[in-house]
Amino acid sequence: MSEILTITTDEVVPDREAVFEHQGIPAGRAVAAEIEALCTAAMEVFRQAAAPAGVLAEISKADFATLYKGDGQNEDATPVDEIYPRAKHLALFAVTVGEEVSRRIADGFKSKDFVDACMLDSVASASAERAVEIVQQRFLERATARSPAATKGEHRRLAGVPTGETPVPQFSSRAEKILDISSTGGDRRSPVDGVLAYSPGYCGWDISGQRKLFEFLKPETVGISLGESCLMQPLKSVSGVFIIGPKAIHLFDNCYSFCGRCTTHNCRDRIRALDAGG
Amino acid sequence: MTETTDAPKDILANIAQCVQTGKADANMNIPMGSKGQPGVAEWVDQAIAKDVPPQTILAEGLMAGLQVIGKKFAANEVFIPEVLIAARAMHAGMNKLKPLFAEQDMPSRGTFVMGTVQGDLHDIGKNLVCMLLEGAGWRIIDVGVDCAPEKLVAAIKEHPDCAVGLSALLTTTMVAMGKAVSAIRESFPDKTVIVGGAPVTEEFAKEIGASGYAPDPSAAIDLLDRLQPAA
Repeated sequence: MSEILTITTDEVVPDREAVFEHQGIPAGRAVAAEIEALCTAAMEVFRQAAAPAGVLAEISKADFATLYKGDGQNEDATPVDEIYPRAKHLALFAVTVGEEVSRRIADGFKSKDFVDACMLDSVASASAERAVEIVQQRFLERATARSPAATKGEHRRLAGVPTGETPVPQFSSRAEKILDISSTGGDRRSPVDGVLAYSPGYCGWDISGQRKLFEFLKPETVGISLGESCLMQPLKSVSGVFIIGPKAIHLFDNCYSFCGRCTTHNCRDRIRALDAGG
Repeated sequence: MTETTDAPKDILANIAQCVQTGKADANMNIPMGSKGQPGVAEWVDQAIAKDVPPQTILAEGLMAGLQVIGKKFAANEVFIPEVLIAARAMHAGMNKLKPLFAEQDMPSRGTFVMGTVQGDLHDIGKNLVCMLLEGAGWRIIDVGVDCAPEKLVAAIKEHPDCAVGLSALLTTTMVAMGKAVSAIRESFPDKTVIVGGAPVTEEFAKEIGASGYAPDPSAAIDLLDRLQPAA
């Protein structure tokens, strides 16, 4: 059963750093006053035009297994194949910042006002990502209120570290730090569950997976539709699955067949971010 | 700004400088605090008044300025907004020159058909390539985003002497890029097809049979010069 979520514009207005990242400006880089002014103006347009909305539906592992196969066009092996069977909770989601924002971006490009349109595009992209984070956090809080976090032992097991043994070397540099699963050492936090979102079109999940996702989730209820090429309208929308479980389940090396073609390796940042948040 | 005399070379240098800083005209407050100072439009007017040939204004003023920005973009010294602002300033100058070219034909480097491949709606990279190539003298046919191979082939049929550019931002739409190149090759085996976009690599470009790979919009200019030299 899909649940329509209330998301306010204020919640999804992005940080300027996130906007600049979409403009290709590295974090911490000084930004000229005129670029700052463009960003401020685009934020204002965004505030006027945004109509964020979202929809969420919890899904069983069995149903997700069928859904994830889609039309059989995924890569042979994908991270999600390995992750979801070890999850505690799964939920499909779709969020959008609304049609009007996308229309204004498209109008800007059509009228060759590339400067403003591109900045608004970046604001909207960063905002859509913010909307995902908000819904993700809500789902995590709700789900973890229903079931306790994994124990340290569970984390170790799920990360492939035998009970009572020191983590194997390949984990010592990342799993130990991220998951706090070392058997030695002093001041440690309690392990908590983590959530990450995975979307069709990324990490081996073919974009055609959108069809099954839409059949189950019905994002049309919040105004998100699917085009022939499996792309969403409004353009600034994001869909996928939230996978909640011990943080260890989200660990994977970027050695899949498709990783060699990926130049962003965002998965590394996402995994690292588990340490900081959900 | 170049310490200026009214010598044509100084005027051209000022045009190039204003393109780089994005100072399109006197009304524009870019760079901040520059409102009221002459921009590209005013300097181009001055150049025209000094009887500088429009081709010279285009090549040594406008295009020279944008090429500097393109190189800085490739070197990560400037980023998307600066390129767009510079391109906008250049267009302010182009608008002044266009009426002059009407009589003696606007010089063109060739026609370039550009699109983002099927399944991909990202158009910022595509637009950057279009703007820099336009600045380098190419006539741009922008076929948009989410382009089915048939749409690209139809555009090439309309512009048989064109070169083609394909952009993709998603790893999964790289497959569509391969299909697009194959479809083009079926009808136009020798067509110059260059590819680019975040997930695309030189190796992938070779694998799918593209003529070349441009790691950034500025590189597309040099790549086309190599693959399809000016007549």
